[in-house]
Amino acid sequence: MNRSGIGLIVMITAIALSSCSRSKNEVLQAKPAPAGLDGRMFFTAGESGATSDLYEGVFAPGLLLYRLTTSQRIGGIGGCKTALTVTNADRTVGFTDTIQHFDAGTLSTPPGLESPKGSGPATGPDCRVLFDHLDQAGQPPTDHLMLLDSAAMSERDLYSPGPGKVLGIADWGPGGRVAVFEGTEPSDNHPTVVTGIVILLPDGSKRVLPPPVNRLGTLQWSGSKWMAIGDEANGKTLFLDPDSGARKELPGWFPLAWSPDGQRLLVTDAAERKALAVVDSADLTTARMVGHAKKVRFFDLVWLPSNATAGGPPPMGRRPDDGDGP
Amino acid sequence: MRRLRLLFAGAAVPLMATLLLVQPARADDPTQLIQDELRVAHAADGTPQTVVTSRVVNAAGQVLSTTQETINNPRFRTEDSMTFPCLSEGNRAGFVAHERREALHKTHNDMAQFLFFPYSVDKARRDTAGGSFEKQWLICGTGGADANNGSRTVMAGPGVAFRDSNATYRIGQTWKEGRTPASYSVNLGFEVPTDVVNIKAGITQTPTASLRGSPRPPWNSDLDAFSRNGANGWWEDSCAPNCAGTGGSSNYQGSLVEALWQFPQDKPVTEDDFAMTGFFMHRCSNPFGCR
Repeated sequence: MNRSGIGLIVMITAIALSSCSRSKNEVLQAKPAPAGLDGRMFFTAGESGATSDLYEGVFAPGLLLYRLTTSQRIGGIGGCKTALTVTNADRTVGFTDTIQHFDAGTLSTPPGLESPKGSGPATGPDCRVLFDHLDQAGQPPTDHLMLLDSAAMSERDLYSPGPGKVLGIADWGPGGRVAVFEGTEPSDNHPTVVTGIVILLPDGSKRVLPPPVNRLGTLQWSGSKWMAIGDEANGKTLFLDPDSGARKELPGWFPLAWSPDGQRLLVTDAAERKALAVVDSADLTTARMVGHAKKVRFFDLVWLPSNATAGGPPPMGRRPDDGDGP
Repeated sequence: MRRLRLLFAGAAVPLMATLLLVQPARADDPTQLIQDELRVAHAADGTPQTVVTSRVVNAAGQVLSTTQETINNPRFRTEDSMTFPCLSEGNRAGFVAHERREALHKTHNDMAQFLFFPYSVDKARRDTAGGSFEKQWLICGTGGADANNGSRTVMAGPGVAFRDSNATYRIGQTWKEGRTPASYSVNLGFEVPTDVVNIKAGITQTPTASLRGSPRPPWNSDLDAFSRNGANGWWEDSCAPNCAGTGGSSNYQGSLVEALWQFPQDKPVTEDDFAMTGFFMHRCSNPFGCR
């Protein structure tokens, strides 16, 4: 081989090595999200609901998922512009559901919370947090919907269904209203049967909607006039207007969270929980696919405004852990 | 001379008698291995039992024979499970300790003993997607075997599996892994340096042996069907996996394992739904056989 041949081989090798090196250290920068998908999104996702972690999702424009915890014990999540609240059940809290704040990789007890054992946080725009607390001190144990106001360092019992009944997922609605599933106490071979949805009004009064589904599922209300209810048994989303009684259905998808303005709902496919689609409030029967996860499945979501500081800085400058990206 | 012949004859009779009295061992051939599985069980009246399944395998791993016997566990007057903690994890707030379970088998040469500590907690968590209550079971298993009179331990350790091959309920497991240096008492407290002195003090590991673990049993077992819900931890001699005719330990060897399962609150689950097993592989290096 002559000298120019050797030079050519050296040059090709150098180019190949440098391209390998570049792809390994490549830093992905998020591009503007597609229209209607702006904001910060935090997911509870994992192989199963019992072994999930916290992820931040970015549309760039495909979905990129950045893993924020590794304990595989994150449950339901809630958030406002400045604070992200999670359910944690890792070793450090004794394996049972515990309400904690998550900020920049650190979990801590929220200020004002006396007994952190609880689950299913739902955070209002004013950062007050609803969560479920099972009081095991009395006999029989009783379920309580608690209201935590960390700014005022206060916590109070908002509602309890009393003995023999349990609560399901709760959420804030328009005008400071609160909705929560209520059902029968589970026992061997007898899962909870939903007996109604309790709506608590700011003036302290309450009304009970007849059960729209038999089994407990998610309930997403937020700023929308529509409650989006997960019908787990039939694999669909049921939209319910509690004021007019109007109903609509979206088969094949489960609700995850409304956008901050209440105009769009992110949903996940009922079959695998790996696809994400967006539903516009003007047409609740159509879901537009916007992203996928390759490995994890989606179980909960918090959708915050773009300028939210909750959870810490956005995870830029690192490779995504899942999603549509490379 | 005649007296001398009688003397030899007199000495030979008891020797022959001794040889004749040696019962055929299950695997006297030193190239064969015995795989014992000690399964926790109980009689209809609740009497604790151990079901011992023994397989004799040759150097190629072929099963030459299989026997099974059910033994009533001996009772001890001073039993107190609280003085023999397995791990601290089960003592977390809310967890209820269930009766300690034991698998025990003692022969002329070998003593294998495995203890299992079940704990459960109702309404431990909420299903993230739907909000239904879920409960947890945590089981810690510990134990091992001591082989004497020419019997040699090749592998020994406990395993636990929830008996379901269709769905995964196990959400966590841990066991000790690594190679063991000479004269070093391995801390079998898993990832946490706890005060499990009662356990770790008795187990001295020999050089270059290994502590290993897996969701799958250490050898081909029917428990492999439940590996998606299983956790096994065992001590393994440095001769493994080719211990036919060589290697093995005459010291007390064993390990620890712990696993956590999560179930819907309405799913009935009891201790009997878990296969709690002690694994003990050994071989006989005694030219007169092992009993």
